[in-house]
Amino acid sequence: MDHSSTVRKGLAIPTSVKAAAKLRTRFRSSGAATSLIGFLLTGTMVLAALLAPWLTSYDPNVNSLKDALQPPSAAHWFGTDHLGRDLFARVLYGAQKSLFIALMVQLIAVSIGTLLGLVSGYFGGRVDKWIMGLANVMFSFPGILFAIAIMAALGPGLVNLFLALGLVTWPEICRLVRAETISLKQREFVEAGYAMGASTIRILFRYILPNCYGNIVVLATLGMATAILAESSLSFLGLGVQPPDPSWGSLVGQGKDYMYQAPWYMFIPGMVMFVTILGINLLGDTLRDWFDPKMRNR
Amino acid sequence: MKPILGVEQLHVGYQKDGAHIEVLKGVTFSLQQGESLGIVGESGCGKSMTSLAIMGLLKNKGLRATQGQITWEDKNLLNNRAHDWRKLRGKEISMVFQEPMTALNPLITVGNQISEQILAHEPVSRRAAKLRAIEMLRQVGIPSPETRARSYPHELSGGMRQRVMIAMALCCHPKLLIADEPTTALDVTVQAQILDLLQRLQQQTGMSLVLITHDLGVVSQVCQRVIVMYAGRVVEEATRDQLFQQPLHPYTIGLLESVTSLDKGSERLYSIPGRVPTPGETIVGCAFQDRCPYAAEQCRRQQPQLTETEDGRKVSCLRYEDITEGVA
Repeated sequence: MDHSSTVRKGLAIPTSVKAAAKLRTRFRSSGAATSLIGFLLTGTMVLAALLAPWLTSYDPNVNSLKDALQPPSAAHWFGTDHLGRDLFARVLYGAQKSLFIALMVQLIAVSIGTLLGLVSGYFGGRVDKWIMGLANVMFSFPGILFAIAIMAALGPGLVNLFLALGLVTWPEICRLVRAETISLKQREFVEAGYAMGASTIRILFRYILPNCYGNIVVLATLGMATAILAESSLSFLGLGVQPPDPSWGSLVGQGKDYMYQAPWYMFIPGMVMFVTILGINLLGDTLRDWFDPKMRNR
Repeated sequence: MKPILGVEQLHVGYQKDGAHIEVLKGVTFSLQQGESLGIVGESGCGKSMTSLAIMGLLKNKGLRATQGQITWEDKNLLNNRAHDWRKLRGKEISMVFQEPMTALNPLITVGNQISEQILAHEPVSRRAAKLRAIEMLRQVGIPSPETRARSYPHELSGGMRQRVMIAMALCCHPKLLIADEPTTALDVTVQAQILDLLQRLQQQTGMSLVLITHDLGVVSQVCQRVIVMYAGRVVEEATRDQLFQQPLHPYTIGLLESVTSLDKGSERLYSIPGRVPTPGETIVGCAFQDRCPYAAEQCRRQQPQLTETEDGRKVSCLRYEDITEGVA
């Protein structure tokens, strides 16, 4: 085209700029940037949690009252808390607890929610009514209140914390999986599956469930963020991670009391929490795309 | 010779607002080993329902067979339990669906879909199943099947996907293949290829074929015998040549008139006036009366039965003799 080439010549964009723009659009449209950021943020946090003993020489639980509420410095990167404990060490060791709790809670919630959602959506009828009834009852409770009740009944402890939060979170997953199942089971490939002689179990776990993975992953990663926050609420109330062990929630909870004297005490663990949750959510988006072969290799 | 499949007085219906609505009103036909049968009719005439009934897939759609029987190798399929169905489907009777775009599981590679199907029915090793899947893909004319087996459905064209569907349907060597509008969603050029393929595979394996279609061109290319359905009933049954040379039922005559061809010139396209009666509509007499140019007084009172003519064909019309003699 003569016309367009003259126009292009008239604009005279240097090739290097064009190439950079091209690269940028490709980078952006492929979602590679988000994947990378999500992966880096989450990966850094997980590594930091795992390598905590090597990353800091401080013991997170040793008091040193003369150093209480020190601002960030070369000796204490994140400052110290009201008992003079190193906050950097406490954030790192807290990451172990918080991330582990978030993961376990979602594992429990996804297992229960997916199974009940599949059964509910697929079989319908009375089974559906009962399961959805139960889910709705769970929804009508304020989640945290229910978790507190469970924790109060079972007593504080890490395993009880997983259970309590997991039992509060499953209805969301259940609803999603149920809705997906209802729409998927009418799709032609499921009918074709029957026509090829597939059993109910095969239909459920090979045809329907894999097509839900993407959405489950997104909801589960969102739920991880909620779980980290919920754990902090429970720990704040003394029902979660027991002192002196740190968790992000308890750090923020304790830091709140010293907000004016030592703002970093609350702010830094809060920022770490924020960045981690952001990373997990970005990673969730990437994982969803990865579960869909149409989005792969794009 | 004893038929391999016999459908007798099959009634299928569903419940709606407490009323029972009949979709199939006594469908009867039979199929010999190795025969290819075409089922023709407009949308909503019950072609697909018939195939779903044979496959035992009615329940998923909220439908139920209320009367009649489907005989497959001396067993009434309507008495089958879930377990019996599972052994039958995909192994003895297989099905190819209309929409190759949506009939494949989007998350599994086509090779795996075929080999899983083999593994579900036969005690072979994973490796053997995989090799056979590739062999099946080769047989249905997919180039470089080793590579294509690792493709996901969305990476294949419509025609290729339909070939995959056929490979999957045939991988356990079924005795009967039901193809429900297998070419409707495809390009015309691809249609012919798929029909050729179906015909070739049928001749190679000696299986029976039921081809459901609204396209008479497809029927004339592939089928030995044809049944024409209208509003849940069989209205005519004949060999292909009989049907195309001398249709008896006015509906069949209308269908043949509606076929367009290049040498017909530029006249207006023919269409049968009126519409198919909706299921649940109560009709006294023949269901085709409102659209039939030959309808007479008796057609409004009496429901015609499928009767055999002298030359062995069947027709369900009170006036077919008058029509053929040109009295009407």
